[in-house]
Amino acid sequence: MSAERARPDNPNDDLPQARLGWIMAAIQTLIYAAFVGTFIASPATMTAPVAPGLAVTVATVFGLLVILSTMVLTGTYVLLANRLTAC
Amino acid sequence: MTRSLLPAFFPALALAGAATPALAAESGGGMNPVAVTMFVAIVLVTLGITGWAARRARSADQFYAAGGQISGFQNGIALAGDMISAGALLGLAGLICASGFDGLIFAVGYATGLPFVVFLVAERLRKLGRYTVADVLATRLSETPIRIFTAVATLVIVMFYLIAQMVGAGQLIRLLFGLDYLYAQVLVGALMIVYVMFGGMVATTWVQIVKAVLLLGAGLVISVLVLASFGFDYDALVARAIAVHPRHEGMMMPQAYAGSVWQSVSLGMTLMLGTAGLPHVLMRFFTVPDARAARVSVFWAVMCQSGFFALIFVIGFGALAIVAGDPAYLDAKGALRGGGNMATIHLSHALGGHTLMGLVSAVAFATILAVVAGLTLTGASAVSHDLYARIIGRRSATERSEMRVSRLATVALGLLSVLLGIAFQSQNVAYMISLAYAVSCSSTLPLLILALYWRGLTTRGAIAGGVTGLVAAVLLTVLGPPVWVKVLGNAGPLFPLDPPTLVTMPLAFLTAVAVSVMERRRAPAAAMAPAVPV
Repeated sequence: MSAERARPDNPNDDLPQARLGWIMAAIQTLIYAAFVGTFIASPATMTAPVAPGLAVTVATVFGLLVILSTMVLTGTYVLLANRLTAC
Repeated sequence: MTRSLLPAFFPALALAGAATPALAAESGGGMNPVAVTMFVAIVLVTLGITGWAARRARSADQFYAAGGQISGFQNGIALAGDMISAGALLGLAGLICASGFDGLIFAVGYATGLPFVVFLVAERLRKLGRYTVADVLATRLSETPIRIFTAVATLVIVMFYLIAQMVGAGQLIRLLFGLDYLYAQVLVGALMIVYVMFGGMVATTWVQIVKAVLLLGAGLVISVLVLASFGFDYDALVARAIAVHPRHEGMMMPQAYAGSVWQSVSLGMTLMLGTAGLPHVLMRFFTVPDARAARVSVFWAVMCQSGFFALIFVIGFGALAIVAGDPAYLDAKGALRGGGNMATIHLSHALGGHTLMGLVSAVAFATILAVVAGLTLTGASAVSHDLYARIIGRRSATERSEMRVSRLATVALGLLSVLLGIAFQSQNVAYMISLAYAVSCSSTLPLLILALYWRGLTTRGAIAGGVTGLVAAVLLTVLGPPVWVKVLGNAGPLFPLDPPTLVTMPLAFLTAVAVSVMERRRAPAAAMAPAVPV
């Protein structure tokens, strides 16, 4: 028991970028969960036109934004992780 | 919404469609000179690459991981290639034609998979592993059992994936080039054996790079042409797609999310997390020289794959608006000629005639070759590196004999996939991809996450959790909609979720944790993980 206490399950103890990874994964999960969750909770919101008179729906724009978020989050992670591990 | 209305999940990556050989001749597929020229050119270029790579692939390090000498950018493109299979180019557009927004659900879900790998798995994996996922687990746990289990799980995932690709490849090549299904199987099987056996990871990576560049180029050209034919007005394109689809505005509501909440959550989860347990994707992180190059590679991989999935928003609606409304591309029943997988091919024909159609067909073929080569290499590595070099021949294996075993395993896997491709010829194999993703989410992923982040994991716990997850995922997929209803023809599923991840993934985690904790309580000292810093 004491041996286990001495080595706590701290995922941030070895790699400086580990905490960053968890934060990014949490943000990504939240964004994707919001997309799926809105479809489940309120389909009418997602299938409504993004502006009156348009055919493009909220879900179409939301979906593209989720895809865009994968690029932005990965880019941010790579940039910050490179900086964290440089020094 | 009854369950029978739910679309077949995961048709997106499996290229199984109801194929009619007559189409090849009718739409010029059999004689298309551009397709045949491109097809021959791709085969020659990739064989040339293999010949060049064969001179370098002499050591085990070269064979499994390209000597760690693939640059970050090159590896990124190849990784993106692993993520966008022919199913993404052909299957998703077909799914949008058939059931509307459902196809985009898959595009969005798959796009979130790779970033997840980047944030939580990739760097630790690199730090601990050499060639395979089992290397990583074996640093923390007792080697023999964990290698056997991981090799088996890898082979299971690879085989499910390979069958889906082989059957799809056979049907597609028959449609596109008018080649007999049997010849198509033998051709794909022979080429993939040559690439992997002689060229190892170097050739496999370069074949994947060639394919990814071609695929991205083709996707971009089709998208620009689609938008151009609507005066670069995306709203006009969507409006036309809604007008053409039989459910009109209704098609903007995905049927995948119209069923039970649990079903929607299970599917959403699988799409995001499945990628993180796919051995052929994870293996790519061992091919670059250092962590920095690994990060550069994931950056480019995410840019390319996400960019491609965004293009699906144009290509899919484009196929619906342009092809699904044109009687020339429909059969007597109003369905797409040659099945849903032909949507993108028809679209390229509508946009650029036989030339563009030939190019896109050849790109689809290159895509299949690259994906099966990557899968075969991963399966062969599990046999030669994990089972042979580290267990069976632990005392006698040399690098030479390990290489020999890996080549034998490549030939065996190639032959096996040709045989299975023939055996499953007339079956709907869409469930195979569903199975691969479910097994990935329920066995390799939980073990990897626990091994990387929880020091309490014991060998017994890992094996118990992994086996439970694997068996549950296979069993519940068989009892669920994809096999019990769609293949065996029963009225209702015995288990409602497809994929079953929502149940099987927590089950695997809980079993692994419970068994580890119990074992530690009984014999705390003996169960201690080796004191390797993680």
